[in-house]
Amino acid sequence: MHLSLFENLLWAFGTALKALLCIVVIYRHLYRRLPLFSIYVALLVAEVAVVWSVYRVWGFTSRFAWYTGWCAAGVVLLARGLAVAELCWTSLRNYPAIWSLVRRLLVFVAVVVLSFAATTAYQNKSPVAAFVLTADRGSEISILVVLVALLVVGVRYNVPLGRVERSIVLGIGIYSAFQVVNDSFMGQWMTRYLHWWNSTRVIAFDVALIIWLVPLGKALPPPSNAPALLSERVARYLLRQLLDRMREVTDELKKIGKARK
Amino acid sequence: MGPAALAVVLLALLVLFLHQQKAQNRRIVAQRDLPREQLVPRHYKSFTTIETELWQATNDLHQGRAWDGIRFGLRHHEFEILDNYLRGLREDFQQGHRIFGQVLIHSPEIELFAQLEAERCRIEASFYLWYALAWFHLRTDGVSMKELRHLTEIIATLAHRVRTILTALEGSENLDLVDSILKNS
Repeated sequence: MHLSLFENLLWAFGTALKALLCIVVIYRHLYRRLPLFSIYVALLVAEVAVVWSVYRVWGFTSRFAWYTGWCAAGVVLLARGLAVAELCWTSLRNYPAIWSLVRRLLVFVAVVVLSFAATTAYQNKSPVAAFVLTADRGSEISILVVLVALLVVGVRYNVPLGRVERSIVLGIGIYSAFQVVNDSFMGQWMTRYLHWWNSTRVIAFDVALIIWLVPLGKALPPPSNAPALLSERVARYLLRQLLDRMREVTDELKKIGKARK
Repeated sequence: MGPAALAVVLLALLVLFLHQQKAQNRRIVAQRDLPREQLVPRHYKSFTTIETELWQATNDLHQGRAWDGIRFGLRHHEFEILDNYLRGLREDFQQGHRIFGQVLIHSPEIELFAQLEAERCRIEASFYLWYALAWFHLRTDGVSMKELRHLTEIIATLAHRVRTILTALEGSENLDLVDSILKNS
């Protein structure tokens, strides 16, 4: 069984978008700011080239195509995870305490979610496809959790992401959410509707690619100025003072509360 | 179905927080050229004016009653004055709270950061409790001068502490940092 005309057109459109994104990333020098995301974009193009060649030669439903497809998807998924980690690092690296806290939190969330996915997959006695699907869904959910945590920290401490970073977060988020929903509904009937399932996957990813391309249409905004920093000694002294002041505020608030009663 | 529902909820949160980040960006750009006085809590200073205004407007109505026990806000004019004042107090709190946030993210160690954040959460919870009470009373049986004074005292205390820490930072010759904190908060 080979790809239909519609699927061929869809793949061609997706490939054109991926190639365009790759060119724009190089043209705008985005690789200087986000090297791991740029590698991820390059891998997308490589993945298409490899998988499409295998599909054309060995057929869409052959065992070799199946393994090639999932291996390539695994590599790209790993690259996407690293791109997400890079987004966290670039936005929080200037704040040692907060980055240390967020890093632990993110690792914890990722480990919990991935362990859950692995356990679920282990308990499921269905074929390998079920295992791959569950692991895939777990990774997608962990990426979503990490992105939401990054944004929560950004909102709480006024560390906003730049225009390009925001669009990358949105694109990855939309695709990951779509993947989870798609996997949930298609898990049991995957074999029957394999073509449809694959096409919706491609369409969802095309939407993400368009979201990433839009802000790159303009020149990259200059990187936001690194925040003014304090020496460690001064910071420790001043922040201890601040802690005392804040404790005084809390005590005074308690007194005000008691006075009201 | 569980993971699918979770993914939809997470996507909705993602869009919501992205929207909030855009709003933050816009606010930071808009306040770039504002003078420093407008970047620190200031609305609470108008408490005396509000009190005088209400006194003059209701002097005849409440003659002989204890000033602190009178409840205001049931008439349209009073409601507008008090609602605007409460909104100003909330803005003051948010401004002071953001300044604290901008200072404490410079913490070099996680333990100190956690202690500061815990205090920040306590202050936040306490303010919003009193604010919610005043807001609710204003819309039901009216808010008393005593309640407003309490809320104003909370903000005045917070504003004083914010000024103290900014002065300490300036004293340690970190003028750039103070400027960056105020502009980015």
